[in-house]
Amino acid sequence: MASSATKHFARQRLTALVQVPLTIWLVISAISLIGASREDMLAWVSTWWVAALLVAWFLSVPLHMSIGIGDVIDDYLHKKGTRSLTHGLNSIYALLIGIVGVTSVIAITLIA
Amino acid sequence: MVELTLPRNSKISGQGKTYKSEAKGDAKLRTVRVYRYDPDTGENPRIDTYEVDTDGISMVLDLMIKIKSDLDPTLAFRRSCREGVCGSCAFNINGKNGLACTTGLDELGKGDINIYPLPHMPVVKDLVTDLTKFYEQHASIQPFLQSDEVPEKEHLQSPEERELLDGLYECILCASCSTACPSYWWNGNKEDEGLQDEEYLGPAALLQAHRWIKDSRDDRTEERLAQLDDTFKLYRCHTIMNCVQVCPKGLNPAAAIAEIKRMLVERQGQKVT
Ligand code: SF4
Ligand code: FES
Repeated sequence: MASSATKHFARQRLTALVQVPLTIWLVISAISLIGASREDMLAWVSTWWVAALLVAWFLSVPLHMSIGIGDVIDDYLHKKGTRSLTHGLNSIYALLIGIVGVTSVIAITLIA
Repeated sequence: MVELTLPRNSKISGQGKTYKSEAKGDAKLRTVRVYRYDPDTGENPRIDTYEVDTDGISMVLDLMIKIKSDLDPTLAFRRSCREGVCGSCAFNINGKNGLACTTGLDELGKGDINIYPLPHMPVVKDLVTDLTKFYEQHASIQPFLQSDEVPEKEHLQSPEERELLDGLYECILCASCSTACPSYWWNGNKEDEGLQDEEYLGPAALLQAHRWIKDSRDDRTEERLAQLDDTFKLYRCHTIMNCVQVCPKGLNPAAAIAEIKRMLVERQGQKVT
């Protein structure tokens, strides 16, 4: 664990930084898409740069989330065994969200 | 799991006693509530109440000494220098950690005064806490000069280099900061598994670690940084900043910790490139 501590810290800050513009953009986009038809939505998601930004969002958010939850696990779980197990589950959860998100964007791009 | 409630024998459920100064003339009595615990009786901790004539008293420590000499000689607490230098009189006074000898009664408003031991530390008796762990953490960062040079007379330092230590060397190890830190409370020794090294060192030890990292005469910067590159020792600091709020010497352990983190990120970058 020791040598990865600073890597985790740097990654947490980096992903947080990346998310600021990405999330602002996503919220503004979502608001402007209120009332859009299914076709409009598909077309929007499959625009190449929108798809790229969405993929970036779905990569950085689960990573940031898993590091954050990992911190909570390190804080509150005192038994090493329980801690490692919960870290494992946390990583799988984040990975699943990432995979579902990224494959959805790719699938929509291919359908549209 | 983290413990959210106190162990049964730590709960304040003992029957408190009340002591009263003999009021001279129209002197106003002030109510002081003090945490009491005596391991020899086997009883739970209790809160004793002292009604004290505060005429001529300006500092909390003076008040405590008056209680001990006039009302109740069984009250135990540590103090020595009575001028904010030795760091032995740190207690939790009206909910905030600080030195009794430098906290004026006028700073505490008009109401009752509550004095408890430093939070989270094992209590030896009354307001005396066991600081063994705290000192061990300090010792673990090797708080002494380690230089490869053997100078003829002394290790020299320019005034500018010396200035870098301002705000770091003044620490009196009173433990107010570490024991005010929630992360320090629940990331203390995760001892149930005997994992002595999986603990947060706390703001006081990390401030001192930074003091030696910054010292131009010290040659162990890399080793010192490497020791702190750890999920528990350093990175349990979540910038809660209670340490900065309570430090009676006005120091900023949070800034020191942030600086160590910054140096570690830079060090990591240098390793990659
Ligand atoms: S940094 Fe301040 S509060 Fe912490 S031990 Fe040193 S003097 Fe006390
Ligand atoms: S008695 Fe020495 S710091 Fe208070």
